[in-house]
Amino acid sequence: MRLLTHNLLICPVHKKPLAIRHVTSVDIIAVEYQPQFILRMIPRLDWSLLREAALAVESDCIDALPETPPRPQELEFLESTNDEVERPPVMAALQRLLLETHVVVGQLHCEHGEYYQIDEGIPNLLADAAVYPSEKVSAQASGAPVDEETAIPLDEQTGS
Amino acid sequence: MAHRPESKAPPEVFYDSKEARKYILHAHTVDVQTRLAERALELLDLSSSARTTTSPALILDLGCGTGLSGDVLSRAGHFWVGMDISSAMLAVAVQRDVDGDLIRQDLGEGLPFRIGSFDGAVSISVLQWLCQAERSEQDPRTRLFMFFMTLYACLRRGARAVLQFYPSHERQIEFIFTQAKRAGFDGGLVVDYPNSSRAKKFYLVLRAGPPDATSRAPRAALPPSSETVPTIAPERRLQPAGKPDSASSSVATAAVVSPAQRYAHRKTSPRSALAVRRFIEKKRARRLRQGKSVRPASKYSGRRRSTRF
Repeated sequence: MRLLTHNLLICPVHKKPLAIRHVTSVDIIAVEYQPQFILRMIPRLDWSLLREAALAVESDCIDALPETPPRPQELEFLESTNDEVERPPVMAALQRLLLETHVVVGQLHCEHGEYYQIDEGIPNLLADAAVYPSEKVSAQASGAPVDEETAIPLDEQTGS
Repeated sequence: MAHRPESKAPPEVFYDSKEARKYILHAHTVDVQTRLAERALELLDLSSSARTTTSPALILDLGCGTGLSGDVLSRAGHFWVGMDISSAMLAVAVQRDVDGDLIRQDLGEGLPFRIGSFDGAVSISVLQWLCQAERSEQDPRTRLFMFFMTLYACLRRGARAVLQFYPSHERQIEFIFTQAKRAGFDGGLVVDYPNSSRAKKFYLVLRAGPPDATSRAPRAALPPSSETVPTIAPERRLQPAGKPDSASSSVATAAVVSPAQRYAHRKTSPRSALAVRRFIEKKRARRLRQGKSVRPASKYSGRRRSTRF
């Protein structure tokens, strides 16, 4: 799943943005430089979510991303200077992040607690595939793998 | 039409690994799917919604399956996001190394995207699956409406959705139409090759947002031999629902004081004697049916007692 798709995705239950966490595998697949397409996509993006996603996949493009999205005047400037040879650093970073970075294995967390698994680059957003935090306890009992963070307090409880 | 796949099993069960392999090995299946996708892309008419024809668009592929329709989009230079419920079909799509992104989701649950994300949507042979209820709590009407409503939201204004489907009967087309109209879509049905029973294909061409005056309505493709006017009208348009003339009726009733206005100073408005009487008669009849004791009916029933009693 490209980070562009992730940026447009929302939680099917709560309609809130999904945060990428526990990324274990990332693919970089180079594609042709698409300045027109990226410029069209910038107004549709959730910029802070993109920055968080870039941190989650540990991309080195994060330094080239400004804190705030480019303003309309800056967009016009970028449009006038789109050059195949000498790409502006923002455009190069967006090309790399939006179109070339694929999350292969990871999790999509909603702010309400439930999360969805990404396997082979396919997020499973089916209602019965959502994992709720309260289910983690029962998942551990049945032998399913659980995050280490949640496993530790449970061990302490049984020890005392 | 006796063996329709959607009447056999739910899509996530029907499209197993055996069925999915047909979509890579059977040349005929691949050919049909590819041609349907090419025609859908043609009907999508991206040049009117996307600003330039040279720039790639972001397209949603609903029920992408093994990504055959996505390949057509990729060849045209577009980026696409595919959604499907069958894990076996998606696994084949991963094997084939398709260019688009894949998401596993039930379309009847709605599309999980932010508003105004996509430049267009295509869907090949999927819509008829949504007309089936696989579990007792599923209602096709609600699911279709949910699908169209979220589709409308995630498309850009003026963008198109082209949905090819195999209707099982005439009323199913009406049913799907109604739900699309409820969700705010404007559009029509394009029937390709209407006089052939095998080559006949239905495309629901929907437009999200205000209709663009500059773009022409699509024309149905006809076999080269029959250039004359087809016997069946190939195109139907949704008629906007006529609004009742509410302005004139409100003027007429303005002079009459309504009971609510007359008794505005009271906490409860008095019920008319007739309404009280009717209620008592009804309750009396009900208690008689239940075999309970009732007072005999008289002319005094439901009347107020005089204050001097």
